[in-house]
Amino acid sequence: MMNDTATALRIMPAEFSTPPTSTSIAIDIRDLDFYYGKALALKDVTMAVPANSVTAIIGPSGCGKSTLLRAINRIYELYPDQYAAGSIEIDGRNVLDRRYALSELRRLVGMVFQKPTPFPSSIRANVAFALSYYERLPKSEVNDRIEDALRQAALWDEVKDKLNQSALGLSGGQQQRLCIARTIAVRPEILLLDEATSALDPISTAKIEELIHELRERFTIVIVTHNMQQAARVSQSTAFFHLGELIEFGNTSEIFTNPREQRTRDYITGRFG
Amino acid sequence: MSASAASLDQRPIVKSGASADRTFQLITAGAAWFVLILLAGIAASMAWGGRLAFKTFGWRFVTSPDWDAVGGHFGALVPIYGTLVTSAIALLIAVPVSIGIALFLTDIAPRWTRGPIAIAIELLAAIPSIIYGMWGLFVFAPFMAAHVEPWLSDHLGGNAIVGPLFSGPPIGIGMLTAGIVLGIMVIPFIAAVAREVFSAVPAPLRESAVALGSTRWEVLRSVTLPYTRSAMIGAIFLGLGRALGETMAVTFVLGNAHDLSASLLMPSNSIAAAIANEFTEADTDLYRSSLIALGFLLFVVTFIVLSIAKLLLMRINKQMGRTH
Repeated sequence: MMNDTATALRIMPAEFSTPPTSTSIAIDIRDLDFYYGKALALKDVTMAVPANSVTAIIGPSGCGKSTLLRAINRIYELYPDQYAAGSIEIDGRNVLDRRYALSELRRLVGMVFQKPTPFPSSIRANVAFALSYYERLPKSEVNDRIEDALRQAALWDEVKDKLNQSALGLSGGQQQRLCIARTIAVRPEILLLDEATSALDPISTAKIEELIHELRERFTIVIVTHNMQQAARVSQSTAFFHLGELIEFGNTSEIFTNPREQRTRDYITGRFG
Repeated sequence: MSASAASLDQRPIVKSGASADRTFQLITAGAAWFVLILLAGIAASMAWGGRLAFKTFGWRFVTSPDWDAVGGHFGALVPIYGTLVTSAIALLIAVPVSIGIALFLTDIAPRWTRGPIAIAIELLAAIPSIIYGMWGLFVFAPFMAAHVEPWLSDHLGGNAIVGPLFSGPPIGIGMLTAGIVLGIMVIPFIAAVAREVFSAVPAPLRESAVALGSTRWEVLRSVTLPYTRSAMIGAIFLGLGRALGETMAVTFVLGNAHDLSASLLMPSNSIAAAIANEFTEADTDLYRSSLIALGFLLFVVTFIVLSIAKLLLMRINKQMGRTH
């Protein structure tokens, strides 16, 4: 009975909530409400994020873009007055369920933040930070994993001779790629990037965009961005949020060239936001 | 032409502020130097007052455990030892408790409880030390004698390694009791600073660790503490400075015995307590001079401890590749 209702509810907005190119679904969000205390920040969001592609979340400030990411890996649970209702299914299981282990979720879902957040330790220690949480690896294997992660993050050549130096000595762009390396070192399936380039200069931004392009084959990437050109450049699907609601979700090219909704068109053409 | 002349005319009206700035610099420099000169002056007058003791006993004043007022032999080893041991016990207790308090208040406690708890802890700092002393003597020492110390000497007293630390009759007053009371006294100081610096850790930094799968304990261990290391060491040494110099509470519960004993359960003495207790009894010049020399030693001990802390900090920061 419950299932029938849920399916029925899903059928209705399906044409808005599933991009036509999607092959398989990595994150299946249904009827998600999110509260900061009493304030409703996300209203009844239903969207299916396609696997192994880049999904961009755009919208004006305060529309709930970052909140959506924070719901997916349940980082909001750090704060007692924030909670989410609805379901977010990854691999067929609802991660919002209290019984879903946080450690499992965080291995599956990595997150990179707006400003680079290197830990106050060496480059090596930063990349190896979470490895020991999930796996018992021999030392040589750890070194391989560190190198592998740094290579994937396109940082290896720049830091291979100074792995034991402080991560705080790297440039902002390098620090952000280090954060990406640290995140992919534990081999997640999903990468959440919360305005990951907004604090960086154009060259570092270009490097990270290139990186996103390469990483999308191995990961499902959800990127929140203020920069619409960036969304258009790096993503295959785009979701437009406004005032906590998912207004439109579809192929990036369609959203940017021929949006269905007037509000999307207004935002993309710069009329508000 | 006339316009530029007018602007030239107007220039002197704009206050340059240079002389005011210089005066201000002099005032602030004066304030800083005043403290340094005062410090040097106090140290020098203590050394001068203690010169008779230093001249009479030489290095033996520091190395001898004999403190015999009747025989006129004075050695400061027992008070120095008692001061260091009680302060070490105090820190051993206060540092983990303070970190726990700070973490709870910045991270775990519901928002509405944070204010009241923080105020309660700051009130601990406002309790006069004489109250701690009386509480220690009349309430805490009997409790230690009746419940804690018998257990310690029964269970640990026979141990080959730590046994000597916990042997002897459970009399309640002694280094362990004094150390615990001191620990309670320095908790608010360390906890207040720790709370301040913990809440200054950027939220995204902690969230990054959590997003990688860290538990709260792992965030504390690998992000919060390394990030706040300098300030935390500062906070700990603020507490240590207070523990080293605390007088009244220690006088009440330490026992004021000039006996050198390995056991933490036995009475001992501390520099500050010895001075406070014996100053009225100092009937000879040598006795009085010895007490002032003790005060000078407290200066030296504190200075050495704080210098070690500074060096430690500099080394850590150098290793971390930070410049500040």
